[in-house]
Amino acid sequence: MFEALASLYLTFWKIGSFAFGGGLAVLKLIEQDVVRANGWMTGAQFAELVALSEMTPGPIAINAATFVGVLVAGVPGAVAATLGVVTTSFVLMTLLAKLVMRVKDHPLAKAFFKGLRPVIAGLIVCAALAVGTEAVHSEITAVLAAGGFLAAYKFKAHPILIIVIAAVIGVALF
Amino acid sequence: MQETKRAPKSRGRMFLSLLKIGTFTIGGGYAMIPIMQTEFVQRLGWLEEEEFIDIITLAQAAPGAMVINLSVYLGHMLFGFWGAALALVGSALPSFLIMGVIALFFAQLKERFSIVERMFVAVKPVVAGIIFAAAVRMVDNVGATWLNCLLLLATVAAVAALGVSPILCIAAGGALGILLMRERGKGDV
Repeated sequence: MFEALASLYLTFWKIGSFAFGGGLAVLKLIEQDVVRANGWMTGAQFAELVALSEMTPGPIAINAATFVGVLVAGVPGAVAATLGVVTTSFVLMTLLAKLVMRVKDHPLAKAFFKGLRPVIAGLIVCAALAVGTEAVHSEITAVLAAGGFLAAYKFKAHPILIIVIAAVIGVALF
Repeated sequence: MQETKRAPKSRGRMFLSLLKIGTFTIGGGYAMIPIMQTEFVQRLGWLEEEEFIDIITLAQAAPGAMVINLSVYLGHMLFGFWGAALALVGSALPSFLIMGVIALFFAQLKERFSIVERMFVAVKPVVAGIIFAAAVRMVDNVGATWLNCLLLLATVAAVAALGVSPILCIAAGGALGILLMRERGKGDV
């Protein structure tokens, strides 16, 4: 049991440490380490995990760690894998927070962040485009996308409220 | 301009907001940005728009899940080490619990998923619109100068059309910032 928990922790620690660039990077690493190297999951189970991750809230890394952990070693396995996948995030971001607090008023740091703000806004536009091109495939879905934008931007509705309303519309309409 | 009232800082409020964010982040990591923006910049007023964007930069450049990275940084910034630990738990707990229940009772739950699928047909396009709104709001607050708009469009072209990695764009943006936007004295924050 202990051995299983330790190897779950370590495998997901590795995944959490090397997954740069979001959910897709995580899935690629899981395919490599969980399906191929450890044989903890079959290909079919992996496909199910991918589908489930898209339908459940939260980051794919946490979803995957929990799912695989339960599969391999029950609830303790889920805890071990989830702790593993967040360890590097936690260590790195607390260190970064300390460091940035110290240097953020330096002119170079200010210029660095200033140049980055429009880039980050651009990356967020890209994310909207990526979700949009996948999800908008008819007039109704186009109207929904426009409605979401207007509700959030123009009417400043809380995104959670908008999402809940959209879910109700989805059940009623489709 | 938005109203600038600030809620008093409290760990409980932070935890609650992160639980909400963890529960409603649907459709990829970026979907949490509009929710986090609404909670921490608009509603609670604990962060300036610029600070929020800067934290996104750091969270995006580090490995792992962006929501987790952002939450840990935010927790540390607001309440130190234990704040970071609390933020980690708050942002990870909803997906841990939801996925845990699904994994444990997968066989029984399987046929219920069609209703979730139907919800998603409508939720996903709406999420796209909401994410776009978050980006536009950022531009409003950062200032739609020529240089900013140019950088934004260049980023969109590079990533969406040419498939350039976001990390490369971040490095380039930072370098350009250092080259072009150094210290213009008063008025800048």
